[in-house]
Amino acid sequence: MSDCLPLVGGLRMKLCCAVNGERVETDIPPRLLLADFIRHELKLTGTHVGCEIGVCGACTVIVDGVPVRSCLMFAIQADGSEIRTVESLAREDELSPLQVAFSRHHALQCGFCTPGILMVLQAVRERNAWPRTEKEARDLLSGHLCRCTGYQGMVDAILELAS
Amino acid sequence: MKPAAFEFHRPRDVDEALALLVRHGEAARLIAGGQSLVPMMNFRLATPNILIDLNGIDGLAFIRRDGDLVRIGAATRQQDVLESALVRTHAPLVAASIRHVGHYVTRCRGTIGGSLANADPASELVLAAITLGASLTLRGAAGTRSVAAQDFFLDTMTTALAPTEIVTDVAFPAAPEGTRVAFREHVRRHGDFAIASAAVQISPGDGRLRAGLGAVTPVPVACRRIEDAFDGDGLRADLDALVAAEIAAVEILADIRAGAGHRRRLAAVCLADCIGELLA
Repeated sequence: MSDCLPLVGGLRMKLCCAVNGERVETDIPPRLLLADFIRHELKLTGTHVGCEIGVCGACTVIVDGVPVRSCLMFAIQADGSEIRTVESLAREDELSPLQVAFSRHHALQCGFCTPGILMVLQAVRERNAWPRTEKEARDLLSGHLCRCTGYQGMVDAILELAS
Repeated sequence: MKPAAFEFHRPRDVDEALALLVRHGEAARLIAGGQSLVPMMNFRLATPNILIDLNGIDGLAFIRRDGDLVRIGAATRQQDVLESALVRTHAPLVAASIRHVGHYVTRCRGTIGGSLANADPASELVLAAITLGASLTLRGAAGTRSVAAQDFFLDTMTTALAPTEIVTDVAFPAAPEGTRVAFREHVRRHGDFAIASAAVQISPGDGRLRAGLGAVTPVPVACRRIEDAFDGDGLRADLDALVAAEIAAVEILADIRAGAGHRRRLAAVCLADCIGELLA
């Protein structure tokens, strides 16, 4: 992590957390956003940053079982937490059932929004809040901007896994 | 699009947080869910020198029946409020309004106390608090006080909360059995900031109708004319005339999302639809 971007401003604070099951211990400035910590410090570039104001949903990750916009949380707030990113979903070369369903239903084109959507869906699955109807699926997806697909493939993938 | 530097504190209890507020005064900001504050910090519209994170404090997140009240801890996540059976049963208007707050992911992190203290004119929770006559518990170094919603919200994003106080909970009057509620808002997409919103509750138990308008004035307003015209069964005057009188009595906001004329029309539709649904 020595080649990370130079970060200025404020005292550095100690951060201990687990990311995708691996323990991370480092010093960071408090103003570092969790999204930037994940991308620039840990080099986990699967988490995408779109708007940086919590609107687009691309940077959604799971912190202690709860889906969060990582652009609206400071990395230091994740001290002591367990963080999961999109890189945690596939095992070796085997995609998760959710990723397989996305592939089967052409639920992505450019893929920029996909990590955030996969992570919110992973979270609702674990929280037993999986959408049962098209309306519920679209309500959930309303927090995520996709400019390619029109969402139809995602809705189909969600409903397939609901049954 | 990156926040300015700040010093970060994570107090273990409310007393420690209050001591930090007293020491740093207006240079400090409290953060709970951060779903409104962090965008403002990313835009550098907010540049606090000191950030006090309330997420390390136990005991600020709860939902419980407290006599005739439903009391909700300030740090309770909005999604937990939405999923609460107690809230659905005893504070159905809160459940109906909170569905419209942001999106699933922002509700999982955003708190009820943060939304109220932020006092956005378009906040569905502020509208529910004003409509139901909720009260907020504020804790400062000198002690605890309870403030009625109509006295707490002063203006756009301005409240009676002193710089050295913390909102610790909000109490809504428990809805009598048989209560029915309606909530409408006009948005471009679900989860956006409302352009106009309305909330109405009718309780057969106490024979009262409560109605409020949101997003069209700096602070949501209770519709007293309509409330007074309710006789326990129906309205003693023409609905459209009552709605028009309510809207004529307030100065309507105009901003980048909608002009005053458009808002006035949408507010009338939202309010009339809510009442129409409950009295049909």
